[in-house]
Amino acid sequence: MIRSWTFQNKVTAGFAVMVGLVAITAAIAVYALQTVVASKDRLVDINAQNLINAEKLQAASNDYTAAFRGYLLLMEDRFLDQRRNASEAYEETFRRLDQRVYTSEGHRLLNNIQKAQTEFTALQERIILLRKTKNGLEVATRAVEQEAVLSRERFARDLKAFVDREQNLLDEEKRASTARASMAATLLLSLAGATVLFAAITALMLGRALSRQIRSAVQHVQSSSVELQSSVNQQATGAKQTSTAMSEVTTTMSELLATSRQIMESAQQVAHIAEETASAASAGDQTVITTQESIEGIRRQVNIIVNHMLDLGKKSQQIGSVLDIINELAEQTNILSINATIEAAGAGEQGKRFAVVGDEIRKLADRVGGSTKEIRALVEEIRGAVNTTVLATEGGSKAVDAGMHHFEEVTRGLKRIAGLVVTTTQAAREIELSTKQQMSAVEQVNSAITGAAPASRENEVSSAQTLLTATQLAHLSHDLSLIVQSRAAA
Amino acid sequence: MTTEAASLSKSLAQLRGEFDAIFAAPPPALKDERVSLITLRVGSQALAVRTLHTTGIARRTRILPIPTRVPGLLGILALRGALIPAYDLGALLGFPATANPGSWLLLANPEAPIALIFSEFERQLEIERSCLHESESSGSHNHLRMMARLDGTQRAVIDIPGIVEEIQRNVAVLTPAEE
Repeated sequence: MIRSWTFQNKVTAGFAVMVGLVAITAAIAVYALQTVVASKDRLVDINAQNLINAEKLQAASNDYTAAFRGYLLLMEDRFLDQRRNASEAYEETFRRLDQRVYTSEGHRLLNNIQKAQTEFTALQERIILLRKTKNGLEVATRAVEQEAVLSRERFARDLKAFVDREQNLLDEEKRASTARASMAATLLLSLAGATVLFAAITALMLGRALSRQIRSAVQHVQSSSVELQSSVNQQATGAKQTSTAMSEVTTTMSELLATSRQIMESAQQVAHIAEETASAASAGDQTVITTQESIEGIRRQVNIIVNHMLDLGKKSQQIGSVLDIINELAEQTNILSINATIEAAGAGEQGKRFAVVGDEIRKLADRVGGSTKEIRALVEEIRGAVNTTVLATEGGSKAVDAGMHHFEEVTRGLKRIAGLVVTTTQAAREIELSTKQQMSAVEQVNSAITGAAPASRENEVSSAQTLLTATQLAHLSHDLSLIVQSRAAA
Repeated sequence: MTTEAASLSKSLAQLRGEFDAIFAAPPPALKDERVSLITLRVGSQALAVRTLHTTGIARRTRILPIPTRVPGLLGILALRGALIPAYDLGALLGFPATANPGSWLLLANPEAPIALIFSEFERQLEIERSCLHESESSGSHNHLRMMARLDGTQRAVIDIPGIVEEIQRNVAVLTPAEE
């Protein structure tokens, strides 16, 4: 997504991040300073003050003890007053200490101090009473030596423990404060280093991005200028070709004009021929009708022939029947002649001549039988030929019918041809008219092209000027590219 | 067609001429050296008979069957105004019996005519007497001992008189003697 940012977006984003880092560094510095100050304040206000108050407490206790001793020696009341003042100072100092101590160990040590102070005070009160008695000094001195010294030493020991404790706390706070200050300084140094590093990286990246974008833009400009140069070259070439083509078109249009005239003349001839074809088609139609009537006559004659052939077949069958009778007669004649021969043989010598005649009759009957067989074969052939002829004639009749059908189709075809010829005539006339209009249009186009020739020459000159400008642009982009590349290399 | 018609006319003219020539020519000389035969078929057998042994040949007429024990007797038929017994020639020759003995009849024995029924009549012809001879086969039927050479083939000649004698013997055996 960052790659699609503009250079302005990238610079703004870089500075925004820088400002953010500086603000974070400042906030952390303020926070660290406040922490160190708070630590020092507590060190000064609490721990050091506790030590001072402990010293004060020690001093008040010393004053209290000195007033007690003064009273014991001199028995003057001013020492009691001093002792009372010292006690108040002590109480005041102790109250402050008790308020400022913040650890349980500190309170425990303070309680021990207070307890030792209370016991010491009670012991002093008793010793003071003893001093006011007879031989009070000796008794009081002995009591002091035996009891008050011990009580005083315990108080001093508890106070010293408290002071040592406070001194340790002060030392710990010093070290903690020093550690916090060191940590804050380290953190600030780290943030400052990170900020400087980020600033350096951002500056480097912005520089590279700017260089890359400018270089890419320069490359685009350079390639575009080259393409523009190439296009202008092509345009210049195209302009020259257009100029040449315009001349050729002018020539072609002239030829087209001549061709249109020829087409018009051809269309006129076509229309004339189509009219003649229409007349011929009408005559052909009449001829077809005449032929159709002739074929109808042929069909009738063929039917008559078929009927005659069928009659011939019947007659041949009758001939066959007659031949059967003749054959039967020949066979009976044969038998009769044989019987005559037998009878003649039985008649002895007189019958032998009759036997010869009978034998001749038998031979004649045999030959008649043979002839009837031949005639029967011929009749059968006639019948076969008649059947074949009838079939052929029926085939001819069917062929005539088919011819009639075909002639009807031919008639319809001729009528359709006549209709198409009329359509062709109309189309030829339309072609003639269209060709005239086309000639007019061609003349107008020719005139327009003649007027367009100067414009094409001007276009050629303009292309040359554009080519010069594109070349200059290519040089400029090359120079810019050199500048950007040298900066990027540096 | 024209050629066939001319041939037919020529045949007719030849027939007419031959027929006329018979009556125009002198009577032919008798030829005792020739024998007249009638060729016929009995069942599927091609046989012949001598013309002089017959008294006639005709188409078979209707035969009236009669109850009889005479071998080969089929019945009686009417021919030329007379009732004649009809015999199955094939049965008399010992051939296997058939349902239809034939459609032709041959007359024999003029004293007491009998009709011998056979299958098919072929023709009548004459051969040289030398063409007749005894059968050389010893197993021949009693009534087929003569052979005739016709057109290069041998054909058995039926012994009609022998058959007539056999019939008469059979009839005599079965006819009761007159008192």
